Amino acid sequence: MSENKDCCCGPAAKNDIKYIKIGCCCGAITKAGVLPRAGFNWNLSDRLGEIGVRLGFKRMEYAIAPGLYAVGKPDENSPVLVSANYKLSFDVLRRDAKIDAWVLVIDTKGVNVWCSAGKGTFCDAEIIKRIKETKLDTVVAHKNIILPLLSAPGVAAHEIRKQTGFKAVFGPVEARDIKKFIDNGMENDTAMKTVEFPLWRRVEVSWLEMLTAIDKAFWPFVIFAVISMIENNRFDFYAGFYRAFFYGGAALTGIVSGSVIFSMLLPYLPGRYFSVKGGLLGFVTAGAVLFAADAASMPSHMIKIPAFLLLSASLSAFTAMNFTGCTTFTSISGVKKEIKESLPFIIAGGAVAAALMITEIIMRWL
Amino acid sequence: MKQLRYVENIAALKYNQNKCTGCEMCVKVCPRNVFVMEGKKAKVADHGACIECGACMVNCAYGAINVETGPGCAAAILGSKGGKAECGCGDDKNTGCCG
Repeated sequence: MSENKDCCCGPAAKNDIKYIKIGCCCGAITKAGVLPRAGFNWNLSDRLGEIGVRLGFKRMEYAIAPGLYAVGKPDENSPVLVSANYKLSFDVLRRDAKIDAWVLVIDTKGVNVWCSAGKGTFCDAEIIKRIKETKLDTVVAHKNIILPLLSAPGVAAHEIRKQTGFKAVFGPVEARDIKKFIDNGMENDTAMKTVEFPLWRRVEVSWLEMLTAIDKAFWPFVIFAVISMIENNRFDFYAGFYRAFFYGGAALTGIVSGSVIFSMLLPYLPGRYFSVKGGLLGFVTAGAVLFAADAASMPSHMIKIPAFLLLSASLSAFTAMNFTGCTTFTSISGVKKEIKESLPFIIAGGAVAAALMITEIIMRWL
Repeated sequence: MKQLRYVENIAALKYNQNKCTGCEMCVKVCPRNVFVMEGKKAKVADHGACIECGACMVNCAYGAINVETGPGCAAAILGSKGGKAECGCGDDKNTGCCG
C-alpha cells in the first residue's frame, strides 16, 4: 500500500492502548540498558488471552509495548526477529520459534503481521525508527534482522539496509520454521514460504465471524419477535416468541453455516466465489434443519419453508463472503468482482424471505 | 494439501521484465509463488494465484512491478467510503492511519 505510506508510518500516533506487560524480574542486561525478557513457554494468562481474543474480547487492545525484548538467553550473536506488537504475534513467535533471540517489536497498533503490513503500519520506516531507538547496533554484533515473510507487503527491505546498515531478510511464514531457515543459510524452501490454511486454523478464525454476525442479527430478531407477538387486539408473548423462534433458527442456521461450517468445508465446496459456496451450504443445511424439524407438518408451511431456506441461504452467503477477509488467498480485485455479482442475489434472497415473513404475519392478522 | 485459490485472471499485477535485474526479491517475498526465475530474469509463472498483496512491488528496488493493492476482504470493501478499500481485518477503532 505504498500510496498510503505518508499517512501510515507517521509519528508514533496517538495511542491509547494500555500495553500488557511482558517479562518479570530478571531482564537482560545489554549496552542499551536492561531489556524485558520472556521465555518460550506460555503461562495461564497467555493461554486465556488467546482464547479471549479469538472470541473477540478486547481484541483491539491486546498489545505490548514496542521495543527490544530478550527471548530465552540471547547473546550478541543471537538472531534478531521482528514482530508486530499484537501480543498473540509475539507469543506465537517465542513459543514456536523456540530459539534464544532478540525480538524487535514494532508499533503496529496491536494488529497482527499480515493485516498491519497491508494497512501500512508494519513498514520499513517504523522498523528503521525502532532499530535506532533501541540502539540495536549496540546490542548485537551482527547486522542481520529477520522479518516475517507476511510483512513483505509493507516492508521494503532495501530501505532498511540503506538507512540503518542492517540487512533485512524475509524469513518463513511460520515461526516454527525459523530455526530451519537459519540453519538453511537464511533461505526459505517453497513450503516455508507458502501460507497454509489448514482446518484447525480456518475454524479458529471462523468463531469470531460467527459471533460478529450473531451480534448484528440480534436486534433485528428482537424487533421481529415483538412484531410476531402482536395478534388481533392482543399481545401474546409466548406465541409470538415461538413464531419468531422459527426464523431466528433460520438466521442462526445461515450464520453458523456461513462461518464455522463454511470454514470447515471451504476447500470442498463448489464454486470460486465464497458467496456461492456459502449460499449453497446455507440452503442445504437449512433443508436438513427443516427436515429434522418436520417443517412440512407446520401450519402455513408453504410460506415458512421457502422463507426459512432463503433467509438461511442469503445470510450464509453474506457471512461466507465476509470470510474473504480471514483468508490469505483472496485479492481485492476478485472480492470487488464477487461483491458486484453476488450482492444483488443476496439482497434479493433476503428481500423475498422478508416479504414471505411479512405475508405470514399479515395473513395471521386478517 | 493443495493450495487454495480464488477468482483467477483478474489480479491487477503488471510486470515489466525489461527493468528486472535478477535480484530474486519478488520470488522470495511472494507468498503465492507467482514469480519464478527464468535464466537471469524473473517471470510471472502463476498470475491467477496473485492476491495483490503488493509484497513484490514494495520490494522491487528497480520499479519493475506494479500492483494495485488492498485487502481482499468483503467487510472492508463494503464498509469503506466511495468504494475505496481501506484498513480491513476488523479493527478501525484507532486508525489515525490508513484513513
